[in-house]
Amino acid sequence: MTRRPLSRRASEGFTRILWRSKARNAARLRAWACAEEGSRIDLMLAANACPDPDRAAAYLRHAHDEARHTRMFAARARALAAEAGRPPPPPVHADTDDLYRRLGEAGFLAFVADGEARALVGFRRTAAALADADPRTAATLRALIPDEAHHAAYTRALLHQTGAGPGALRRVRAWSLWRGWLRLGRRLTRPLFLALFAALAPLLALSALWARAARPARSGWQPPEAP
Amino acid sequence: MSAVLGLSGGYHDAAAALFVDGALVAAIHEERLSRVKHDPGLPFRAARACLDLAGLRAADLERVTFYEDPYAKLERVLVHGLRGLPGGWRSLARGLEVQLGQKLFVLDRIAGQLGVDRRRVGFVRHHESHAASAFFASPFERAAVLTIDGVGEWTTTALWMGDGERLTQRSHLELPHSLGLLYAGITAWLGFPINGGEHRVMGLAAHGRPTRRAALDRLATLHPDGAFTVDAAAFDHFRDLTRGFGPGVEALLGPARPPGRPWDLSDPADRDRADVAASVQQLTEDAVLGLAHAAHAATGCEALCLAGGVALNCVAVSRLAAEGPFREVFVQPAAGDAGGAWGAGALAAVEAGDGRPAPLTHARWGRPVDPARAAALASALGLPARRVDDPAREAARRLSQGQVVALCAGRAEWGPRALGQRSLLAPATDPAMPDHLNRVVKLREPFRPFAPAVLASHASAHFDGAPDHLTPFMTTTRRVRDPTALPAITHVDGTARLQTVTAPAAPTLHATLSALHAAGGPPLALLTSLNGPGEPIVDSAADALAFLVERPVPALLVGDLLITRPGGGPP
Repeated sequence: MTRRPLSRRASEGFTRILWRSKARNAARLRAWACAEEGSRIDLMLAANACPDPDRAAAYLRHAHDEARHTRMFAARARALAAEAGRPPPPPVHADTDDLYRRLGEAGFLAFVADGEARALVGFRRTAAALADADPRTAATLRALIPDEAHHAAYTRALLHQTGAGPGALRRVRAWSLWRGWLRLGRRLTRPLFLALFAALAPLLALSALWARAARPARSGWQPPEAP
Repeated sequence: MSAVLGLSGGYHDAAAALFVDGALVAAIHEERLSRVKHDPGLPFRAARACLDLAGLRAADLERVTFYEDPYAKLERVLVHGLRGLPGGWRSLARGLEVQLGQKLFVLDRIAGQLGVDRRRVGFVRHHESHAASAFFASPFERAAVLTIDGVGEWTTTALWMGDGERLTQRSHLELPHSLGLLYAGITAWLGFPINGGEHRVMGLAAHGRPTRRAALDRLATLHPDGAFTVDAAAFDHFRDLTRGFGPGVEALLGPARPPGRPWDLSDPADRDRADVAASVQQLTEDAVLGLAHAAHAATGCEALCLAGGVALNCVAVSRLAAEGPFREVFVQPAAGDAGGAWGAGALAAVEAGDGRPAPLTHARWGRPVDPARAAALASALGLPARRVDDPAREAARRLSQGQVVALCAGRAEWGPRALGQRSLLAPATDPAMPDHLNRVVKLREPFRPFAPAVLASHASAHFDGAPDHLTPFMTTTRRVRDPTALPAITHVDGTARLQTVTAPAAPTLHATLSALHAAGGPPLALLTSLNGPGEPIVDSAADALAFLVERPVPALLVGDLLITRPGGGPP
């Protein structure tokens, strides 16, 4: 029997610690379902925008896979929430980054290829770590691995065809870092804003008194608004 | 040439509508292009698509009008939040963050993104946009107008007089007295999403009895003059418009139903929730009737136009048309916030001296679908596809065989209803069809009903009453004359939200229903929107192909192109 490298065992141990709460796992899988749904929307936009029917069809097939992944993650999230005695997670909701238009087709392909390759590694590691602790979640992840491998391979191949290859990957990674920085900025700004808001408490208290006196809630029919 | 663009967005259901020389040229929901249901952003894709359809550039726009006043809205968020302090300080902080960080600069953003001179970008008030969308789209020269929704700047409900090119507000109700927010709060309490789940409450209501009306009457009081007051404290003063309700509602009605839990109407707890739905529906109908009487007394008009999210409550509109004081009622297909774009654009056109737009007689104002693109995609996907001489007859033949047919024809619809341009058709006579569509195709709650489309010339044979201004747009319901003959489209209360179809309004659907009739069947079919669960209605050929790949529907018609699923026979 071959021993797994220490780094891998450590990584799997860390993953098991991260995944030890069913309620949190349900929330995590629901977040993954939302991410898959966001990816599906981006792929649909790419299929709509791409002039080449073969590549557009590839994006449509990919979107179809992402829809299936969304359902699988959402179902497992619901099951874990039930096992944890929690209410079902909220319905899946996602927005779009409109990556195709924002990055161009080569950038889009580079972004997707990179993301799918990272997801592949992550799913493999998590599935291995959860094999005993949560075999059903592990099975869900293992079921997705062939899809992720295919997605990474076909987008890499298409990226290669565009001739943009490594340059596009570098640009997209730089863009991803910049996007991450902006997101971090937004996350940091919120508590700062709340702190500033709290610091204004005395002023707000006075303003509240003014608002109640000068602009009380009005019931019944009101005269027409000023044009 | 005078080109004006109306825009709505920044909260939910973003949309754009373009008028050239006073005539509507295009009206498009952002969600159809962004593929994000009820898209809350700003409608830049829709705006560009409208311009493309007209062959114009942004620089050609004389005026761009946003559907609400960002400054008044900031004032409302600030003052309403301040009134509630010290409670709800987080909501106030969040609200101000959004207003000051984004929404206050919405006009600059519109100018920048579209590339229009900032001086050409303006706004009208939210309820004025709604009122214009209701009245200017109507066939009436003179009418009372009621706008009822969640909240605009301050106004939640307004009463207007429309006369020719003039709209005059007579009176209004202010936050927190909001019928829309009350309905939305109960929608959220039932576990459905706000601004997207209200029609589910309406469908659920027919399964219950209004046995909880007394409890609902403690949440809202209807006054003899048509006004109403809402117990805002029960709804936590509507401080959190994503949660929608407060502990007071739970104290009165019981704990909220968790979102996403499957419905089982044989379960007493879910039956009780259906009773709550029936009670809030009845309360809403009574409130709308009270408002209508107030509007009639104030204006003396014989016709009424409605807009705002509450106007999409087709059951309430149906009762209003039957029991209310007005001889004629009109609700345009996009009566919700998306319609604000239409109203804002129409107001700008009137102001520019272009005159009042022609009445809205059909909903085909979106982008056209391209059968050639569908053929190329089908080929790349390995899906069998062939041109057919008579797509309507092909659709009718399949319907006669009991099949479900996806229909994608011409320009996409304006409004939340698919009216034969991006629709799923199925036999109305198959009692198993609703269950099949709900469980397998649309993946939605088992209690949700399906609507019929019927040839206008034959509507009275199958439904009570004659076609009117409401029936072409599915904004009302009618009693089904023989529910046993049409089980797939008859709701549990014996009604249906019918669409009456004429050739000018929906040519392909009209031809299909005519072919069904010619083949010896009734000239009607079950009709539902062409979309998967949680998705916007299909817009393009790629969207339609994605639907066919994803959902077990045997055939898709895109123009004259028939695409089939391998092995896809009758359901």
